[in-house]
Amino acid sequence: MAWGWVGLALALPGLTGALWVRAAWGAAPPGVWPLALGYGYVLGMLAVSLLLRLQAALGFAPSLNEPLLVLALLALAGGGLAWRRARLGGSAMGVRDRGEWSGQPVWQRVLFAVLLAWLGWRLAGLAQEIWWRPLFPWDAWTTWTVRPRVWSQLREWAPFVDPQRWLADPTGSAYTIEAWTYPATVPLLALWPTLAFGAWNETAANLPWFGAALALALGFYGQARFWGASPWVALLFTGALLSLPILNTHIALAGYADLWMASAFSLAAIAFLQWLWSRDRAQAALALPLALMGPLIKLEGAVWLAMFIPALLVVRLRGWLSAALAVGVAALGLVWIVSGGVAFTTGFGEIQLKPHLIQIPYLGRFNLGYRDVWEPVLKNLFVLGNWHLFWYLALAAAVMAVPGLRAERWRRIAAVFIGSCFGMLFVLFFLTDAQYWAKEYTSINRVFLDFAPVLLFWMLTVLAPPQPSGVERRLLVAPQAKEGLADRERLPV
Amino acid sequence: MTNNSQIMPAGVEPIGPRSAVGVLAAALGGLALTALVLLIFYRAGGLASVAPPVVLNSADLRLMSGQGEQTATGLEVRQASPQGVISVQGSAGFVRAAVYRQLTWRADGVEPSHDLRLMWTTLAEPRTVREKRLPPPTEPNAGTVDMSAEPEWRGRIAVIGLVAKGPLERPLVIRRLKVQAPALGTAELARLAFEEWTAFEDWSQRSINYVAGAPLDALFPPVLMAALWVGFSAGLYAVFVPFRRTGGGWRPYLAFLLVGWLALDARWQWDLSRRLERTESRFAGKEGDERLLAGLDGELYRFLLEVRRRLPEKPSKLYIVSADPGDFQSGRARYHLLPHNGYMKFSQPPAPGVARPGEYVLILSPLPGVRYDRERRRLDWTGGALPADLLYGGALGALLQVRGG
Repeated sequence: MAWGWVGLALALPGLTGALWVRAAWGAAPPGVWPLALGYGYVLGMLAVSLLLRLQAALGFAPSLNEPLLVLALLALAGGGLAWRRARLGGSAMGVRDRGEWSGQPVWQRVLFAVLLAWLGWRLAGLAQEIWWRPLFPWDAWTTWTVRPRVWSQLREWAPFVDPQRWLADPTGSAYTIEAWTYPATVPLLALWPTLAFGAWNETAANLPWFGAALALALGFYGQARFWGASPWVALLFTGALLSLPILNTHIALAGYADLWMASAFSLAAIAFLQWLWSRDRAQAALALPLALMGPLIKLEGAVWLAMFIPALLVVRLRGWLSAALAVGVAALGLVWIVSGGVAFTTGFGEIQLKPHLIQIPYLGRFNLGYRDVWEPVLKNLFVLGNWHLFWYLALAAAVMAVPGLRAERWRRIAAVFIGSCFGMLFVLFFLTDAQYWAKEYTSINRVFLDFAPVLLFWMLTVLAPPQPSGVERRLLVAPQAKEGLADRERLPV
Repeated sequence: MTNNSQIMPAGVEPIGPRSAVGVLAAALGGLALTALVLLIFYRAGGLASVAPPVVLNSADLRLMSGQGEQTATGLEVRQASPQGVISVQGSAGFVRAAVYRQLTWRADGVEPSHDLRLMWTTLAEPRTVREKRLPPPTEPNAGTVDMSAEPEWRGRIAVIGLVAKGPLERPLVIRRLKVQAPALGTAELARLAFEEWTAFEDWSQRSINYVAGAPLDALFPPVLMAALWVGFSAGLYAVFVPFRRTGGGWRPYLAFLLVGWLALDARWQWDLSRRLERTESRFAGKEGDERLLAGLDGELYRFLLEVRRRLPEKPSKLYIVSADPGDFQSGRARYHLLPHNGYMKFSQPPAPGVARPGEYVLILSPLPGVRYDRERRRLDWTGGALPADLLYGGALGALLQVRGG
């Protein structure tokens, strides 16, 4: 029975999220259900973490009951809304893809089935690893799982403080871990199914990770179908994502925050790219909460969140304004270097923004200066077994993307986004002490993992144009964007 | 977007029979070209850049037996140990024995009467010292030995050194030890490639950070090999089936990439399946303590079960002390004892002003310099003492409860 409750605890947030996401579209574009299930699970689980935070803030003990009740009500409301919108949009709630399947050549259907079987085998194996293996990876048992285990076993929200306060605490009620400032979202995600289980259980605590991987894959597939890729092409790219050894490792050895960071950031960024292309407000509505939750998953989430800013500025500013912005940023950078930067104190601590030093409270202190880490970076991306041929494909896609940049404005904005991410990664590994994360082969692949799914989606947009193409497709997906798109199509590019 | 850049239109059709023949021919040509290029590279001296020699100059060597010192000319040994043995050694950097098989030594003062031996240890058996008698010098004060036929020269070499026995009439000056890869033949290179591609990599604490996919210092890393094959095949196809003849289709190139990717993924699936087999045999059907006892730190967990039995039901504050605070053992001890309120960044016991009466101290062995005085019921260490009752002592450590006064 306990495992039944665990199943419910994992299914209900996913169902609730899926219904609300489905309700965002009246019509039923191809891929809407996989998209809804994928995005819905991640949003639903993140909502659970917020409900548990609320539970703690209101003084309730950790419990399944209140969040489950709220989720059930939300599911009912979301279901009603989705049904109503689907009816108004003239579509059934069923799977729209069925119609398209009849038009697919046999070889594509066979390929689809073979690919699906291959991925099923992969996922089944990874799920068995989660099921059988006790909590394994280092940071899981030193950092991420300590808090949920304490909360689960004590059934109270025991505080976690810094080691000095722990030493000084005469009551012995405050706990400590080195990373006591890390956000509580991931610990809460591990806690949730153990509340359903009724006791601490490592397998139960790790199961949401499998859900996150499945959700990432479904969300990716759904977005690929939204983009206009045929079922087998969408599954091919989804398979490429699910085949990545470093991603597989984070599923099998559940417990690190990176899989959640990758899911939330990449799904947000994919929805952002879709919004850039189609101006579909529903995509923006998906991107926003996921991107905003990033800093609550990992501190680095704040940096990933900042990656949207340059692209959004380019969206808003056109013509001479964007040129003025570029000149302004360059001038500001010059002044910053010449003046030696700034330092000031805020309520959160001291901030230093100097050419040789960046210090931001909670993010860390980074000595700036060029570090030659090409060898470990290239080895991890292009030689070791982490990524298969992912980065070779990325290089090919970068070359292939050039003609599209000239043709469509949204592609240039997408390139600004992708470029900002690469720029940040370059600064991180080549200009700061994070060089050791690369040299010692610690975080380098994990940081790139956050970004890999959205990069793969961007490759899809370069390599597999939508069918039907151009404006027709965009109007099919987002009829409300008709006016804006027509306007944009006329603009000089 | 132009047609030329449409690699995978949604209504894509399969590659036609004529194109398929071209693709197949290019793929086979790519395979041959990859093998040929690698062979030429390694036969023409590329091996030294991928697997550079490990050179231990005298400054890199430590004198383990005998008396002597570093001089300008080398590590000068003037006197053997009371047992008549001279021994020097240094780190070999865990090189692969299968590749690094040629050892060169250079030392002054070696006499024909000396019994000169090479010693080494491996990563798998760091405490087992292996020795091999060195053949007479091939040139004055220097010699070379091929370790290919030595059965114990295997795995990864951790330490290498020289051992000399016999009367020392004049100082022995050790100048240099060098271990390197000999020139490798085609069959040897093929065998190494096969070994690297079939090397099994089980889950480890490093797995979460990277997947090596082969030995980290592989001569034929699978990803690079697959990329080379894709590149050569695509290049051949482009040369023999020009772009204009295929109507600008990218599908053949995509096919090469897909096959390369699939080959890597098939290998990864094989690896995952073997890992899963091990996980299953170790943990399947086990629950609770039984499962944790089967884990990587089963022995530690067994010890901690005894510790837990001595701790009260109510979570208590626990100082976890170990020689290497924050290492695997101490971190796992803290985790396994939750919800007891442990913290493990202590290299010596807490002072009386820090730990309060009634709180607990867990000592993880070995912890040099710390001992328990049973008569005084006190934990003693250099510069400090803590009144405490010993609740449990075992091979892996001890649990104590802090006393008042």
